[in-house]
Amino acid sequence: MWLGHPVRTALAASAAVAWLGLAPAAAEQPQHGGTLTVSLPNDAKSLDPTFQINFSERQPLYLLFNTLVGLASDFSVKPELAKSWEVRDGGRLLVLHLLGGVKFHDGTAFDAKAAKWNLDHRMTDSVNSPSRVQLTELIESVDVQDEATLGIRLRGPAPSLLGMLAQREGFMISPQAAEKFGPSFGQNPVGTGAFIFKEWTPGNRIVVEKNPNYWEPGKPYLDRVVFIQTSNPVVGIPRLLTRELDFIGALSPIEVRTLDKQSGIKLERSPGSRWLALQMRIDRPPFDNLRLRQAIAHAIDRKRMVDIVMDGKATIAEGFTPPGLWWFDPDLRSYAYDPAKAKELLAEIGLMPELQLTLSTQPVVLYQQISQLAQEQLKAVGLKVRVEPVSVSDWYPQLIQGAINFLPIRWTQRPDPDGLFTYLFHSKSKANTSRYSNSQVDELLDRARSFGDESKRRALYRDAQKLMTHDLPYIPLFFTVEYAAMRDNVRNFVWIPDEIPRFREVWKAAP
Amino acid sequence: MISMVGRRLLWAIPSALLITALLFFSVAGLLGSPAAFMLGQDATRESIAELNARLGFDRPLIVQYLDWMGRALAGNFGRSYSSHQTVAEAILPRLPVTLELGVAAVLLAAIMAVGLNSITTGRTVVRPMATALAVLGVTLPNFALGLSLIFLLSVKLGWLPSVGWAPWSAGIGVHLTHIVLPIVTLSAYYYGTFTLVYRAEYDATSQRLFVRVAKAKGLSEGQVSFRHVLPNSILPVITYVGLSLGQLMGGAVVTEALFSIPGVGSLLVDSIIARDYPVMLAIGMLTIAGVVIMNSAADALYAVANPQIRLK
Repeated sequence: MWLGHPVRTALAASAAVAWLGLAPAAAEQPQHGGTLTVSLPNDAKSLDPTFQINFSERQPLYLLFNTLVGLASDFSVKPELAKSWEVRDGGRLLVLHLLGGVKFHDGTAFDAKAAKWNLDHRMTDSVNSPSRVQLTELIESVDVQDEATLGIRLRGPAPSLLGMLAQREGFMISPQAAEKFGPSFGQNPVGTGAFIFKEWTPGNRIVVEKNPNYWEPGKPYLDRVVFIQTSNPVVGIPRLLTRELDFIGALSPIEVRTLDKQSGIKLERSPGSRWLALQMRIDRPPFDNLRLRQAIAHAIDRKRMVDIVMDGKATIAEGFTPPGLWWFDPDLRSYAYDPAKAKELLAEIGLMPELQLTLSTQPVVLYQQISQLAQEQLKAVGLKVRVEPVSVSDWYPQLIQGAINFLPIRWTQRPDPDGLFTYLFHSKSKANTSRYSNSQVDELLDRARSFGDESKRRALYRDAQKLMTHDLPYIPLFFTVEYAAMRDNVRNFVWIPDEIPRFREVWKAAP
Repeated sequence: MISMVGRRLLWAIPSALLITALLFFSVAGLLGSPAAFMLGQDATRESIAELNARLGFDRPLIVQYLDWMGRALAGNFGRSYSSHQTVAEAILPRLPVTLELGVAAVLLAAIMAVGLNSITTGRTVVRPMATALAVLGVTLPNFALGLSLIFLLSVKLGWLPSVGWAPWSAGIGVHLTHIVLPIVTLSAYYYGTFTLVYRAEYDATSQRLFVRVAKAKGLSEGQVSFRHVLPNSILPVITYVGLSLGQLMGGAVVTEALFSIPGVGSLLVDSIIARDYPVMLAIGMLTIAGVVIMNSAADALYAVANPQIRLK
């Protein structure tokens, strides 16, 4: 009977709006025009997706190029250049139905032939693309079935492939332009994207302009996006205040403290899905001892780490998967913080007092902080740990050679669990650098590796995660959180769990 | 004069060999092959080994270095491993930017140092200020000064942009307003050193006999200072200007990074991080060439400034 009361109704309505996660601004009509200036933290090396490795450098790529399929904000795969797809032959053939009438910026048509050329190009040995191994591991051959139909013949069921085709591996470049420019295509990128490459001054800025013939009707909204190389947030934040920048991504919770109450600036928290863990090499001493790994896990106070490093804002990782992804298991629990238990386990093993662990740390602030905290917490239970620097590009080769065996590491989520799980934990994976080997886990991952029903796969992945969490090849810490800071007239920015900012749909209101 | 320049150039060859060898062996020896970097975090053991073999990174370091040197001497500096541009394409567009920044900053520093320390009107006020500025310039790190200037002039007052570079095509006015802050930031250090050098020489020259004669002739303080003391005290400043300009050919790393300036310095740092040997070594050679050319130019300027040297 009180429901008719106007104030109550308004309250109920606003509560409903808040509950649905719809800001009132969502009702605003998108405005066309304007320039968005974005901070780019690294100097881009190449705008050719074939050779790109750096994460932050991919921001301009999503404007210049389309991928075969796209990613929604919940990390599900959605249509892009392929309007639909199906799996045939018991998971051995992926058929993509492509959009018709899409043209590259140089006027040539995008069709199945161009798509095949792109995938073949990336898989060719002599091209040296960093995507080659990932693709060739899954793909046997690519065939043009007709102008708008692409058949990808697979070596076996490959659920992670679609997600890859929505990311770096799936960017479609113009074959003609690639031929014309040769090695300098990276300075003259040509795609089908919503924006056309305009100019690039290495070390200073990249400018892309609206593609007037873009295939998505009414898009994009912005006339121009300018990426300004900004070496450091210490420089970036003043630029946001002077309006020289509209957007900065990848800010830590500590860095945004000064921006929290600034007028004219708004913050968007990232989904917090990148997994941070302590990795060990477990096929040889000392980490081949499960009880030692358990003792370390019990000694680590993850909450304290989150409080200090992430200002208390990150989710503690009980396993490998952040809440919100379909293969997340809410009941999974890792080893709890319990220093007494850790000491007990260490006493049981009777470790020799000369045991000294070396925590190898890349010169990245986050890793350095984590290593120092881990060192302090392990010391408290009687484990001696040395923190040793290792360069960004060397940790991997050194890990493979066994020169380093204990390190903090962060992994970005992939759109399908098969992506990261098989990659890091299957005993036959070339990238399984912890050398974890559990035949039960292998079997579960193999069985889950089908395009089939999500609920069946979920059950298999939950079982696998339980085993992996118990076996501890990695000690899960937390899911890192980043912030994007932007001028408050920037609209429609949406985070995707891979945490690479996308600007294709962004528009600017009058300031 | 010509033989002196010739000798200098001859000396440049072993210096270039030494510097590039040091760069190459330290980076390649300590940091390892570029293959892992080129392939990124998704690399596997096999793919790294394969790329190493294909690009020849599995050969002994000395062989790799000599191979590069042989090609470089034939004029072929190769292509960047990371951007796939030729080395010339990567470096040449950045060179004028670095030159403009470096030359403007060093000249500004020299003019300010010589000017402020030669002024005779209000000397009791100007001199202590010039000294304070010099101490600040030498002691305050570049990034701290740059950040303070950005905070004051860009954020608080809104007078100047904090992005330190816009192309000439954007308009001369636009270009100049962008580059003011970086020039001032970079010149602070040089102003400090030039002041120390010039002041000592100036004070010594002021004691000399011809200065007393000039004063006795009835010339004004200003005329004595600018016409007689200044030309006789400026030689060490010229030397320092030459040295500084030579060094700056390798870029002003911190200033460039702070103000997003597309110069050679940021390219050098990036190329070292990425093990991009062709680019890194070419910039090493360029720096040597810069030092040699600028030193010779400074020597030539000596003769212009001081006839005694011309006569010898």
